[in-house]
Amino acid sequence: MSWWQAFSRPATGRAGGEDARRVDALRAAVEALSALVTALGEAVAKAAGDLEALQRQAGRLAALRADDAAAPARMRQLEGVLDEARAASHVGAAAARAPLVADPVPHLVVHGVLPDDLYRVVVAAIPAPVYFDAGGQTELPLPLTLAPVDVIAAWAFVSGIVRTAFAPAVASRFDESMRRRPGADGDPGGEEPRLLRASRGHLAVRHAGDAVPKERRRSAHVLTTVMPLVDPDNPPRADLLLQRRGSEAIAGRTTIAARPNMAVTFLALDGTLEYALDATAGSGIYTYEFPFAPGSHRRAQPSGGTLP
Amino acid sequence: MHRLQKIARALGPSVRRPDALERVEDSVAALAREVAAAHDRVRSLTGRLARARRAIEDESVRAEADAADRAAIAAVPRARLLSERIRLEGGAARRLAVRRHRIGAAVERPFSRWLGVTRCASEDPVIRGLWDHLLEAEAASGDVLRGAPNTVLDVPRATVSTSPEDELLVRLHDASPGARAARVDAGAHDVIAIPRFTYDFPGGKLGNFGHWLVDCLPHVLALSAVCQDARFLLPAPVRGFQRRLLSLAGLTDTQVLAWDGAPLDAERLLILESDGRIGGGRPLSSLLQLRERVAAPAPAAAGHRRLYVSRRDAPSGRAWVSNEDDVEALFRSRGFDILVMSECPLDEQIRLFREAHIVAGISGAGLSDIVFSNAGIHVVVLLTDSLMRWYAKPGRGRAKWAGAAGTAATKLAAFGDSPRFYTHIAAVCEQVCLSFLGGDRLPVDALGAFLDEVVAEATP
Repeated sequence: MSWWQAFSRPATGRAGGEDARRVDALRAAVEALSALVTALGEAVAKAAGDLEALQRQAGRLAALRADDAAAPARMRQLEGVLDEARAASHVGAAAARAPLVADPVPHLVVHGVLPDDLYRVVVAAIPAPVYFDAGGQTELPLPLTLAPVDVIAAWAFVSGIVRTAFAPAVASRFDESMRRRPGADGDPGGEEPRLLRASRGHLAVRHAGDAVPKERRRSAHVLTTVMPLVDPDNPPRADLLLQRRGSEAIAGRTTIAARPNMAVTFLALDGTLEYALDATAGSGIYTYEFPFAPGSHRRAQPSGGTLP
Repeated sequence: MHRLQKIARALGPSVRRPDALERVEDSVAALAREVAAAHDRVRSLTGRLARARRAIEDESVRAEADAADRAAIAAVPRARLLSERIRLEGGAARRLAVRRHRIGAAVERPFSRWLGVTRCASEDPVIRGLWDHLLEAEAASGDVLRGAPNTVLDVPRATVSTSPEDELLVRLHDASPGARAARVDAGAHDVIAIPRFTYDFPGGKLGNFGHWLVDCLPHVLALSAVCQDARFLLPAPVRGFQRRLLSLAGLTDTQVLAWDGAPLDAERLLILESDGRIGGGRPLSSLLQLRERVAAPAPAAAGHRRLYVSRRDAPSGRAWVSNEDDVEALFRSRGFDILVMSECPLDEQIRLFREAHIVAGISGAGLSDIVFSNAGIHVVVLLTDSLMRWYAKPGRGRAKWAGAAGTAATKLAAFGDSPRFYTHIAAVCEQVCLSFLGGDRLPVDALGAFLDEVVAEATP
């Protein structure tokens, strides 16, 4: 018999009556105490969680303040490299000369996607780990918000070039693939090419086995681009496994070696891309990923301040 | 062994040993007190952690906004600003020194709860159709009036001028002490403030009292909140009524500079970048600040006065009503004081509007003084066929409402640029707004019946 069972037995014997009442009262008190101890444990756990979150946020703010001092010098460096016309011309030409491969899913591997100096700036502008939420998330949506000014500015420039120069050049390469693709209802007629627009995307930390888009759910996006952000002078060994989704299993696969300054765009409706990293990749590699979805090309208007 | 287990063990034979029972009771009581005290301490700690977390989250929000602002202003190759009419010249590193202040709070005001009776007595089917279209489009655009805070660019050491393309050109200077000394010697001003209406506002509206009060003066207030002693560059010429309104905002004459756009050096330049309009309409956040700082309505005591603002003194072609005498007589018969704005000094206008509990008038500049009136008053806006046609004239910003029907994408605030101009201002001021639309010769009988309903509703 457990101690609780022994304790829980009603008092009996010649000490019934007043003693029995007292024992029952004690029993109730101990039960209440047990509940209070449980509540105490929960409160301590919550406090610990709050403290951890507080420490993360404080760490980000402290890092921001420390980074701020170097901002003017870094902005001066950026000005020498961030040339809109040069970058747009370069990415457009790089996307245009990249061969479109049909298997296992239509995809484009663009090498030297950015001017070399711009790529180095982009890699240097990867936010420090403290700016990624350590609470399990490994993605930072663009535009960046809480990050050093020069980092925000660099990524604003790059995502602007991507949307205005890279995306249109790449999207048009997939028109034929879209036409050849069976329609949603199974008709062999295929889909008419839709006006595709690149989203701002996100920066991510990817580990071995991570997939883009996530394996389980069918992508809502038509195309996806992945750009590994690896040290051009000391790149880790990493492969990108491009796979065609079958009805039950993978229906085809190809391996693309992840190299500095390259971008892989693939038909996300039918495929996924999995990261295969070895130990040289350490705790993962950073990537810039952005999907394409049907949309209009309306220019965003500045909000507020427009007088009648 | 767990303390509770010890207690339980002890309780086993306790029924035969009363003293042991008492010891156990004492132990349990003591333990309960300890645990309760520990629980209170942990709860207090959790509370403090939650407060610290909220404080740091607020700080994070501010830091994010600041970082985003600085990155936008220092963007390569050019600053991304909230006004397309400002050109900020200078390298990215230099532009890092520019700060963006947010003045005022975001506004979210329920709209329809401030709408009173709306009556259309026009006999013109085109006008009736326009009116129905306007109300339907407005209703389809949501029920919340929104406005964002003002933003002010705080620019150190710059020269400001207007460009041939009508932009506000701001050239950032070298920050070195030698350069500063040279500028001071050359007569650089300390702090210069530039309202948005100085560089981006329809010239025709600058001479209009109503637009000056509800659209322009709020810019001045927002800039004053950053630096009360700044000198303000205003479009030349600065008129008498503008100076009187500026004095309400606490500006002295020496702070007002009529400016023709010629280059001017400043140690510090404050530029009203955005007045927070979302989709158009009025600058709602600024309007509320205007009420707080300048209007300061009389508290508690309900107004007793009924005011009718006559258009008798309106310029030719802008009277909108052809039987003003009859309309004045009607309102007089219902106990309204007739007010002719051109004959009433500003201070007197403010006093009368503060004392009012019903204000009526043809939609026009005269009604703009409702910003000085208490919340809860009734505002009666009269509209006529010719006024509707004026608003609907194609090719003008004020005629957008007459185009495609409103959709979820059309912001409700945009209808502030329509015959609902004063309905929107009243809603922001939390005043009940009633509308009567009739022919240019307003139907006195129908208007009288309408007025009786209004007075009955408004009179406690």
